[in-house]
Amino acid sequence: MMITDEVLIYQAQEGNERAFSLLVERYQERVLNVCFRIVGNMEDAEEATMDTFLACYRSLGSFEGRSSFATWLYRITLRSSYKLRRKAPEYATVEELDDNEIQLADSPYDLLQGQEIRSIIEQAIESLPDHLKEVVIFYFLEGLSYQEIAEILECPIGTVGSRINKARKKLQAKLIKLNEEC
Amino acid sequence: MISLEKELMRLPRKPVASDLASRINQRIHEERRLVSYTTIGGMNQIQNRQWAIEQEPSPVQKKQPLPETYFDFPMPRQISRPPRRVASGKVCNILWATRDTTMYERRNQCLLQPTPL
Repeated sequence: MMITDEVLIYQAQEGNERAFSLLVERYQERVLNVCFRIVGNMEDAEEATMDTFLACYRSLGSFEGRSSFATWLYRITLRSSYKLRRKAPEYATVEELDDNEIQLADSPYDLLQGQEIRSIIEQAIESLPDHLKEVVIFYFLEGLSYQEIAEILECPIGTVGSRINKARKKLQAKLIKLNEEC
Repeated sequence: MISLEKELMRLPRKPVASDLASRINQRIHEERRLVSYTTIGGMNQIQNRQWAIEQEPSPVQKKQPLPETYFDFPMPRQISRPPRRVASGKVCNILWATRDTTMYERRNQCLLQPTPL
């Protein structure tokens, strides 16, 4: 039986290190991916992930459960990532895709095309302004709801919706350009 | 036609390094150790302060007479406090504070003389 976040948080607040380790194991992948999209390279993303969990550990005592733990953690993640990016403004561009990450395509042509499309989408996401990039990360990549995103970004749901629409239009423009070229 | 949503969903997620969790836990462990050191350091400071207070000379020791050589220079003229003749000590004290003895005496004379109705 899986232990709920609430139980683990309570135990971690009581000083149980093992409980906190379980929370780290549960959320590290999601935090790392958000960090990666913000900072743009894996090395800094890992650093930002560590900063996030350290900040989370420090302020765990003040977590009252008014929002979900994930929402709260994502908020810290954004803060840590931006903080790290400010320290190193000339961050690297999105890394090249690894060989093991392009197994979805079937034929060599599909493989090449898939890789190209993903590369363009990656670049398009990276070129978005931060406020649009955030909603793309949380809505399309992390699969969060408007409500959850609004809680993370501490803005109205309507704002989240309009930002998603803007981001979608910008990304679509990039893909249409790609279609025309093909 | 390329579907944006579909392509976004197909974007590969970055795999987590196998040692990332242990590195995070290591940093948290260091943080805990640092906090406990700080606390111990704080305790030591308090204990050191307590020790220093204990080592300070007591007020009785402080009041011991100073050596004679200390009084080689002429002592300042000591002004004796005049007796309080008036019921209202407040006035006297204020006057005394100004150290204007002449004024004080004048005031006393005024008080001693019956006031004409």
